[in-house]
Amino acid sequence: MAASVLTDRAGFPMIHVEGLDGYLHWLPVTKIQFEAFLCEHPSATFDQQWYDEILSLNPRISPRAVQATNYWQSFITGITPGEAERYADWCGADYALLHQKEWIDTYHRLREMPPRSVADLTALNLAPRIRSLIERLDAVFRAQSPNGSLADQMFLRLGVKEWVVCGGPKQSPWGAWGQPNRAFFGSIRDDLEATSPVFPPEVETRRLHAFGFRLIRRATWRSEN
Amino acid sequence: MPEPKCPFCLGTLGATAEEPCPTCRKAVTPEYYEISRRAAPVVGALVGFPQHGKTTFQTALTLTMDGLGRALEGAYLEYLDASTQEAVRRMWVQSARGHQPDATHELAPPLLLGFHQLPQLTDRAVVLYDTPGELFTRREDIAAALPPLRDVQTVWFLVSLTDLRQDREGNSLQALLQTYMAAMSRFSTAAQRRTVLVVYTKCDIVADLPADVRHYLADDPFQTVTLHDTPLTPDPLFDIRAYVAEMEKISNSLREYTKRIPTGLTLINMARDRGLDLQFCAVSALGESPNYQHNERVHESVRFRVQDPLLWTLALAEFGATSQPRAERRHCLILDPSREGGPVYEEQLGTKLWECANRLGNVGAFHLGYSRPIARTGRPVSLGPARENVARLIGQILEQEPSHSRALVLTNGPILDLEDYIGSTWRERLMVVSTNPSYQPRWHRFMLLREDDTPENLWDQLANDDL
Repeated sequence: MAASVLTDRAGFPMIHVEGLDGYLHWLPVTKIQFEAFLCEHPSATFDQQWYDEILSLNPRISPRAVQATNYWQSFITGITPGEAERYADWCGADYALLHQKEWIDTYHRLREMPPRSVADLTALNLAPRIRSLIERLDAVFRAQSPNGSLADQMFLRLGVKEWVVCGGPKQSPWGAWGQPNRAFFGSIRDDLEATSPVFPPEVETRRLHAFGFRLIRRATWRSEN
Repeated sequence: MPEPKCPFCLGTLGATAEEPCPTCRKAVTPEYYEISRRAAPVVGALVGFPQHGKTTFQTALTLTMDGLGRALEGAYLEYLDASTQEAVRRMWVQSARGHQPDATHELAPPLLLGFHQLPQLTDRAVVLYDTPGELFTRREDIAAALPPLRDVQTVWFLVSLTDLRQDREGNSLQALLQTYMAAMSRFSTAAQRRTVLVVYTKCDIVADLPADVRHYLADDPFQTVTLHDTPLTPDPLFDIRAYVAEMEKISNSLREYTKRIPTGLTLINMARDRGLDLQFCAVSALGESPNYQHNERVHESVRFRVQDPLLWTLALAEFGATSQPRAERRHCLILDPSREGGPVYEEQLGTKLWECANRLGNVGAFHLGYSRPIARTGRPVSLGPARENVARLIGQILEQEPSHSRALVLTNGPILDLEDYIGSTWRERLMVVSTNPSYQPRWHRFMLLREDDTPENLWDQLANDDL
C-alpha cells in the first residue's frame, strides 16, 4: 500500500490527495527548497545576482521568524514558469506543475475537507528547520483561519499565485491560480471564484512578486514502487 | 520529557496510553508508553545478508540481556508487549531444546524491550527490528518492505566474515552499505547523522582476528549470564563509559582489520564521505559452530560480547557522541565562493586553513552555496574561488554534516540562511569569520578577521572544548 506522505528531493513533505493521481506538495515551494536546488546545481543562470533579484521582490525570512504578518516570505516567488519547471526537472522526471484544471479541482475538493494534524508530516525524518517551518506555518493557518479547510491549511488560499500549465486553444502555456494574502498581493476580485486562472503577459521575462508554484509527483512513479 | 514515539511507525503518540497511534492507529501498551515518556526509545535494525547470523544473534542478545541482573545488580529487562513476550518465549523454547532459531523470511513486529536500572543509563525502551536477509540481496525492495529503516538512527550491519569470504553471490561489505544508502535515497532521507555499527558475527571461527580482539572476546564479563548453573557475582563497579571506551578501542582495531578485507576500505571511505558514524564490534552468539545440517547447537552456549551493539547504542542515546579518537573528529571548512573574497584568496588564507585542518583528522571543504565538497581529508589542494558566483548559502552544507561536526566559515558577505540555525546545535559548533567589517551577523560564535589571526589560532578557537 502506498504511503500517504513522503518527502521530495529537498526533504519537504508531499501528501497523497484523493482524486489527484499523485502526491502534492504540502506547501507552495519554499525558499529553503529552492536553495537546495541552487546548491546542488550551481550555474551562471541561478547565480547570486539572480537570487538577489528574487529576494528583492519577496525577502527571505528564517522559519523561526514566521508570523501571520510575513509568512509568505517563506515561499519562493518572482519565479518564471520556466524556472519552476527547471526545479521540477531537478526533483525528478515524475515531478511537474499541475494542469490548470487539476489545480482548481483539487482546490475545490480540499476546500470541503477539514484540516488535519501535521503530526504525520513532522514525524517524517525532516531536518529541524523544515519541521520548524511546517509547524509555524500551521500555527499561522490556525490563527488566521480558525474555521479554515484543508485547502487553507495547505495555503492553496492565502499562499501565493501558483503557476499552472495551460496551453489550450488561444491560451498562454502558463497561467496562475491562487488568492494570496491581501497584505502580500492586493486583488479586488476573489480569483478562486473565477472560471479561469490569470494569464499575466510576458511570463517568461517579467518577474511577478507574488507568483510561485507547487509540484505534483505523478503516479507513474508510484506504480513502480 | 520527550514525546512518546510509536514503535511501529515512529509517529508521535497521543496524550495518553489509551489512545491508539494517531498515524498508524495501532495500540501501544501502557508499559511501553510510560517508559517512552521517560526517555526517547532507541530504534535499532538488524540488517545483513542471508545466513549471516542475524536471527541467531538476536536470540542470543535477548537471552543474554534477560540474564542481566545476574551480572549487574538491580538491572532487568522488561518485555513491553505480548508479541515480544511470545517471541522471546519461542526463543527460550528453541534454545532449551538445543535448536537454532529459524531464519527470518518476512518482517516480523519489532521486539519492544524495556531496560531498567542499567548503571549510569536512563530506563529506556529499545525497539528492535530483525530484517529478512533476502531483502539485502534485492536493493529495490528494501524501502518498500522496511519503512521503519527510514527512521532508525543506529543500524546494525551483521556480517559473517567467514560466509562473506566464501560468498559466490557478489555480496560484499560495500554492497551492504550501498543497499542501505539506496534505501535512504528511496525514502528521500539523508543518511547523515546516523550510526552504522558493523557487527562481525561468528567470530569463534574467524582465524585471523587481531589478537586484542580475541582477548577482548574472551574477557567478556557477561559470557555466562545465560548459564544459570554457573555461579556469577554481580559487579558493583561496572561503568558503562569505561565499557564503551574499551569498545571504541576494539572498534578502531577492527577498523584497521577491515581495511584488509575485500571492499572493506571502500566501506570505510564511503561511510566517511556520506557523513555516517561507522563503528565495529565482534561477537560470537553461540561460542562455537552449530551443527548446520540439523540446525542445532551441540549444547548450551557461552556467548561472547553479544551485548556490545546494544550497550553502545544505549550509550549513544544517553551521552551523545561517545569519546571519539581525535583523528575521527569531523571538521568542516566553508569558504566564500566569490572572487571578491578578500584575504580568503588574495592571501591564500583558505588554502592555509585547509592545510592546517588536515592535521585535525577528518575534514571537508566547501564553498558557500555549493552542497558538494571541494576537498576531502588528506588531499593536497590549492583552494580558489568557485566557478560560479553563487548566493552565499550554508544550510545545504550543514544539513549533510554529522552531528559532531564543527565548522569554520570564512565569508566576505552576508550568509543568507545563517539565521535558520540560531536555535540549533550549530550555534556552538559553527564559527563565522567575516573578512568584511560591513558584515557582522547576529551569531553566537562570530569574529571579524584580524591582521594577526593565523590559521592555527582560528582552528584552535573552534576546537576549544570548553564551549
